[in-house]
Amino acid sequence: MRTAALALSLTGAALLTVPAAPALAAARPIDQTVAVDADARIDVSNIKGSVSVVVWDRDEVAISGTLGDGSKGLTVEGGGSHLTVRVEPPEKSGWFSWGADSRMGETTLRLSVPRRAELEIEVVSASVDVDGSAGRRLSVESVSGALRLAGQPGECDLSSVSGRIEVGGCRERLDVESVSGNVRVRDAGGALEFETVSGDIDVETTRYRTLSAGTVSGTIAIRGELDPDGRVEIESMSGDVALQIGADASVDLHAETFSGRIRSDFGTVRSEDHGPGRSLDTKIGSGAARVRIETFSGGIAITRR
Amino acid sequence: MTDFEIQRRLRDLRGPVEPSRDLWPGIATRLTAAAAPAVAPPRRRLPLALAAGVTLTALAGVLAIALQRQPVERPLAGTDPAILPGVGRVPLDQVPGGDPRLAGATLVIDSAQAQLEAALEQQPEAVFLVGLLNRTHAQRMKLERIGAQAG
Repeated sequence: MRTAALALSLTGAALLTVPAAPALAAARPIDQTVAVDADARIDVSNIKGSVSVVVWDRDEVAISGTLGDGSKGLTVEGGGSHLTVRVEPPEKSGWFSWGADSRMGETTLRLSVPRRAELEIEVVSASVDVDGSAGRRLSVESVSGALRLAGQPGECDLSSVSGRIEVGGCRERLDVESVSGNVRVRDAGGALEFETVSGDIDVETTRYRTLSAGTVSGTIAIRGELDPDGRVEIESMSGDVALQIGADASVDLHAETFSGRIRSDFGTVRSEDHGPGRSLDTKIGSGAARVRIETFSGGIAITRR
Repeated sequence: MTDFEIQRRLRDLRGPVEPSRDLWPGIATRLTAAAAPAVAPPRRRLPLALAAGVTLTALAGVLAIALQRQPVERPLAGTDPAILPGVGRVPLDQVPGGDPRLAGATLVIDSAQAQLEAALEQQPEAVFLVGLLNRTHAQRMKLERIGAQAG
């Protein structure tokens, strides 16, 4: 198998396609290995089923699993610095075709990739599970599939319409976007950015530099140590916001709500003399870091860690 | 100037402002002149105010329920589209690409936009609500892009 993989890399761009099988045939097994660079970019797309990625210390990608009924085939293109692994929809169907989706069986894709590989994964309803990645960048885009990341990629861009997103590690930058899927983050650092419409955002991490979170009706809960000169901006319409601040933190804190309540372990909450509204302005320590929270009707709770 | 600085300045405008002259004599004159007819209108307006209040409360309730009933994940394999989240509660011709898989998200986003617009009417100076509305609009556009690949 390794010889075949080396041959593929020596002949340059390679294209392998598992041929189409008659509809309703049994799921076809997948078993391919392709040589790639240690920091190769690997693009993976699947429509329904699952994508599981683990890492190893080899400069090659092993692809296994089963191809779902109705799929036109699995395309494996390239090698070296860039590899594409794509589950093809049925004949004459678009990638996001509802007709194709309802006529296809689930495809299970299991990939072993170099630890430092850069990953770009695109799915419709397939779940995505990435474990151990330490590449420069990880990008996952999903419609309804659940995403789970455990590892330490440098930069992470995760997006879903309704699938839940779980992150267990991202070193430098994490950007998560969802409509109704809930977002749960453990152990991410650097610059954190979250945006949902109705999905909840729950973050617990050791230390971060900046955080920006916005939601219309989801709840936002943030626990972690903000860098001494860090920045936090949280905006919510009706969702509640809970923020923990370290006891020895140095923060210039502003919180404001139109019709919600503010509860804080720091400073004094002020009610407007004329019209609705409550606000809190206080400095903790020298106030080098800045925290800004605004809601329309969502409650705000600021607690000491 | 950042959004927060604009917000802070707008907030400062909420405070009491001392009139440049004594306004009470003019107010007292108009109150005396309008004393008799002024009694009736509040009674006539009361049913209207109550009706408006009930309507607004009902609207807020409907929107809140729509947001709470957000779509949950379900496997799509072999799924009858009629049971997908949001299908039947939003016309499919209003769903991007007419795709039943996007009905739930369409319902959530459209309800969120309506709530944000209602909130902005109450708090027009809230720059952050405009930001949330813009970002929600961007999510709707993204849904349209996904829907364009359907069919």
